[in-house]
Amino acid sequence: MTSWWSWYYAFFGIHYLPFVIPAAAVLVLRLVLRRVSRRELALLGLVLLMLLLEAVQLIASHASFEFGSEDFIVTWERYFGVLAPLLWSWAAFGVIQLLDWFERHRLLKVGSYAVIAVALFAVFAFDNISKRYDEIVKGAGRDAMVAGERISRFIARDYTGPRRFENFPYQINDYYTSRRPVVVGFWGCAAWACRGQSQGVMKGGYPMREDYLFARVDRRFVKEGLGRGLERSPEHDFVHEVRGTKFRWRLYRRKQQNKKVR
Amino acid sequence: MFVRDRIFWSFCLLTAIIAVIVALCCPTVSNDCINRFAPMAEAFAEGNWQETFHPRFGFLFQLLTGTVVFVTGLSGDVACSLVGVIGWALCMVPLYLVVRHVFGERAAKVAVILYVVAPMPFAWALRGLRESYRLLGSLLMVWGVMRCHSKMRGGFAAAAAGAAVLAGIRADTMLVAGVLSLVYAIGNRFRLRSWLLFVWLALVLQPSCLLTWKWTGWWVPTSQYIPVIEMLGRMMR
Repeated sequence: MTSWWSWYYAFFGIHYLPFVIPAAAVLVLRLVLRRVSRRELALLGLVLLMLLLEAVQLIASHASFEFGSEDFIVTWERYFGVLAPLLWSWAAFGVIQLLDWFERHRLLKVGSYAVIAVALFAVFAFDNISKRYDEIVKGAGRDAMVAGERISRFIARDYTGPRRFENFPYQINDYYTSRRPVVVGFWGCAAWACRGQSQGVMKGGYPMREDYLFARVDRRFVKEGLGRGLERSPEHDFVHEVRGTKFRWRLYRRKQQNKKVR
Repeated sequence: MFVRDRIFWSFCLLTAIIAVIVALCCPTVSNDCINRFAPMAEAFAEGNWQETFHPRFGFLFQLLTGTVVFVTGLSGDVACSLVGVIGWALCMVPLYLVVRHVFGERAAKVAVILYVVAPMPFAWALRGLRESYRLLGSLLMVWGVMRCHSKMRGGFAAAAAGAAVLAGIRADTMLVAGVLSLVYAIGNRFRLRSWLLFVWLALVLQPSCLLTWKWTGWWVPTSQYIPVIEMLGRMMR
């Protein structure tokens, strides 16, 4: 991830490009022409204030964030993109102004169609609609859940240990349950369907050893090293493979199950 | 408002109904939901308070999702999706009110349509995350503050509702609720309603304070404030 993309993404991408670019254009135009009302300034001020408070808290709690990293993008999108609908109100205002202009020039019908066409093109051309279609209809977003549900049926048969850790050391730094089996995977849903405890790879600090590792067999995992070499690991046995809606997933069982770390 | 613009609000209601159906039929995975909020909701329904609440995550979302699991018997992930999507749908009303206050009615309708069409807010809600409630609380508070500064009625109730949502939903929105309450008070010139809003905010923060106190011995709304307070203490010495 290059840094220019990060800057671009931090300011525009997280607020959904098809709407925030017209919104920014309208806002800048109104500021330059000095037509901006006091209420608009108040709204802008409140949004900026909330974003500033968010940034201060985020930097205070995630000071080690590398600018441009995946963590940065994911976190900033969810933390800052939430208020985007308030910024889009300038885009909405721009649409109304444009329709009024068309009406003054007796082009309302043609203009309305043009606005709708451009808006639809902006939304559909942007990748989000296809992503949502993939997620909901084709099931790409559900891949991990489907694979997790399938593998958890196997885990439910395979796992014979206790259902909970006794005297579980609950952690203040993050939320962990005492549920077992504990399954570690890139997506934290592998144990969900059998109501065990799932832990994502990026999650550190879980106080007990995992019972299983669940890895997606594709380039991402090979690149990130989770699936690499587990077949040869002295601590893990390859036990099962399933398919989600898109990818293959492999399950590895810890040989010395449930050894306490600390 | 709802009667006058029947067609527009019917569209919003229809969208909300479709969204709820999607949430029930296609709850979508997210790590945070599966690792945190879904187990929390099920723990709530089981009466396991130790695993329902954690000082980093507020209490409101667990309360809502846990109640859904307890009442309906749905699984935790579906309950999170459902509650998230209901929050997403509820946001349409305060968003309409805020934009109408600033830009007028027609722009408000377009803004709501943009919000409905944009995939991001809906995706977060569908994944069982708390973002829709953060937006809901922020919108209510913004509307309340703007009404107050414009010397119009109805601001206090909206600000109070928004403060309650922000204080209960996430650790990082508690400070936002406090600062926006202060902005409200400045507009209100620190009259009675300002103090009532502060008292209300302090009240709705108490469950979180109690939770943090039980875990850490500190009477603060979230455990994330503790290192900051300790650092400030060291700087003061």
